[in-house]
Amino acid sequence: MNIEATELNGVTIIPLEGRLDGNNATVAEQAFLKLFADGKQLFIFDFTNLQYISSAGLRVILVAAKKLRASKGRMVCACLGEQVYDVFEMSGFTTILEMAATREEALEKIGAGV
Amino acid sequence: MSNDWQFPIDREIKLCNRMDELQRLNEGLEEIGAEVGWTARAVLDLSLACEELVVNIVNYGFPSGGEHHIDVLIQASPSSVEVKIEDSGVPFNPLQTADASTLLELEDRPIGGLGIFFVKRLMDDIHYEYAGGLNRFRMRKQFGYTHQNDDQA
Repeated sequence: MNIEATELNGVTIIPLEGRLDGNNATVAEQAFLKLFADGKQLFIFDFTNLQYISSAGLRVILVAAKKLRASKGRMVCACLGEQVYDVFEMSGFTTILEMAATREEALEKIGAGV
Repeated sequence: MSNDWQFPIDREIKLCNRMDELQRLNEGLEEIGAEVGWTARAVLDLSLACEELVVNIVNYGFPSGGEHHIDVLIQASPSSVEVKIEDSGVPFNPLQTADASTLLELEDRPIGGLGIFFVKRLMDDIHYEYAGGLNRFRMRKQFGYTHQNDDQA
């Protein structure tokens, strides 16, 4: 997985593509941890192009959420596809994480809407 | 009891105990799904159940290292699948692990522990035994019905 994060109105957007599984979860985690170490505190994880997530992928999202909760940062999970949403829901993640149906809604939630 | 005639496809995906083998596992499942006519979603659900079990074996099955095999045997029909996963690692019954609590607040959530919970939620007729020096896991799934087990609440 090749992750190209972008900045919009002070928010770091991490687009996830393809499959977030045991094989490439580490790549995604390292990408987040690097941005977090650079001082980024506001994140949107954009799931638009993610077809599949497993528990290894959820682990990355949970690590990010815990770090940001501890540092008083924020993150929103946006644009989840069918399988990804169902896995989030099965795990109870939809109730403990901030969710948005669109990128615009995510920006608004995080206070960076236009 | 499985009736062999119900399963036109009978295939073995031989994996090594490495994380990058998940790609071959997934390709194998997609191939079978295409041949037998499963929906994309059915393939993803099956892929998830298989990944969680294989990842467990890769992570914990062979603590002294080395290259070992994990055999994934798939019997597939348009409406059902039976998967057997066998490895010669340390005896481990994944069904004895406690279900992850899905109700805890973010701060209290343990990192991990959801994998086997997914397998139990997605698959039917799950069975484990240790025999002949092998961990033998078997699970089945009937497709084509509405997901009656998926309470949407």
